[in-house]
Amino acid sequence: MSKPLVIAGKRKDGRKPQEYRAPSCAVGVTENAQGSSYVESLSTKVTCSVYGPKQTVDDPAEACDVKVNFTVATFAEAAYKRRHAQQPTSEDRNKAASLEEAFGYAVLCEKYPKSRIELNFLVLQRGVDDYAASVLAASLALMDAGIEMHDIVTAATASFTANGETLLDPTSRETRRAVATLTTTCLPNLGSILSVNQSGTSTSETTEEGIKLCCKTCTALRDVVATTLREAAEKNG
Amino acid sequence: MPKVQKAGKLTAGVPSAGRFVVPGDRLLDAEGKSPLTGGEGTARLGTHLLATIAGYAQFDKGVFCVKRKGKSSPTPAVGAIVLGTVAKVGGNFANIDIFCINKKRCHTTFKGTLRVEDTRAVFQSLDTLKQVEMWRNVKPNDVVRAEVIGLGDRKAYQLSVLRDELGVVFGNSIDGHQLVAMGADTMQCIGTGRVEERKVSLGGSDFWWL
Repeated sequence: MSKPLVIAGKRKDGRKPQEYRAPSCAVGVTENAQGSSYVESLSTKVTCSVYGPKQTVDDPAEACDVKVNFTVATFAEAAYKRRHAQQPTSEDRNKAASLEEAFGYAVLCEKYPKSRIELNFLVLQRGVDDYAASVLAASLALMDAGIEMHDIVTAATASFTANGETLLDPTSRETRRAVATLTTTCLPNLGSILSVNQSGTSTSETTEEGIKLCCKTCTALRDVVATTLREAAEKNG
Repeated sequence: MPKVQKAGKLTAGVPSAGRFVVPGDRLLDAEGKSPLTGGEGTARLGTHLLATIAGYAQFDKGVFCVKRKGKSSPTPAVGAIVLGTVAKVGGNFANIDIFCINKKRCHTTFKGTLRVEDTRAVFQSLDTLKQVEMWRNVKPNDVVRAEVIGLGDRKAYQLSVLRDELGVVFGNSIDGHQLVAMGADTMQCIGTGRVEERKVSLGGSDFWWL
């Protein structure tokens, strides 16, 4: 039997099971984009650039389109997983589709008729929570661009162990050994959940508890994001 | 559309004027109540007024709005006054690259189309040829002030220069010098004195930069 993930109430890196490490964020990192951001979480580094609203190439609609380009750098993963940048995996395409859907809800699309908003993600280092970090990066970049949104979109990840513990903001080692990993995206102030993704099997009670925990974390992350923006605004005068 | 589960989850408390707000923050006036109307950067959700952008909440001319410093990217909406460069002139249309919307510079150009029917009002035009020939109203590389009258099709917005204050603002003559407005229909080259036909924009007091 391998060592349990939580020993005496502490994980390997010293955190409590339900302690998350807030990511460090910055805005305005890309000059050419309308809005941009950089998010560095436990194991993920991702940058998001927002271009738009610009003229759509599709048939005009009463609301804007949110288009996502999700690129993972060739050096983003461990050596054995390295692959050509030109071949996006189906997982990345799913993530891009989820992000499009989530931000299609969050952005006030009716205010930008016949336009498209492009979110370009570049994952520099890929960890377990690349989707959650991308969601935060996109929220920051959209706010930096001044695009109107219903609320700040935040996301959190949790893992369930075989011993029945829920670990918040897991490391890659913890997810490899866990029974299931859950990512929840929500609009914290409006109290609505945009998406729930789980890989692995767990009971419905465990999942429900995990979702509630993630939602609480999302609310706390919203304050982190708001603080980043306020500091950036104060610095710019 | 996201549903509000419970009103109590929205941030409550202190009045918002002067504070930095982020999207989803509830805006409250001095009495701690939600104002009925909101200006730019706000949206109503049920009985609450929420901020939709990250910026400073201000009470501006009786309405609550959220203002942010920094570049914003406008999009053309029906009724907007735009400035654009004439890219191409056809028999009865002109393609215009819009670079400025309602006095705000755009980051990307939007494409607009000006039809000759929307250039001159029939009863005002002395010369019936001007009604059917676009070439007599605008020329390529002219800067034109137009109004957006429709969202158009997938290629371009619909523009109009029917009003007196809409039309050619800047242009170059065929001799290469700048043109100066002489009346509603003509402009004169400042280098050679040659008179050219244009649908001229007769500036009104709204347009302070000219």
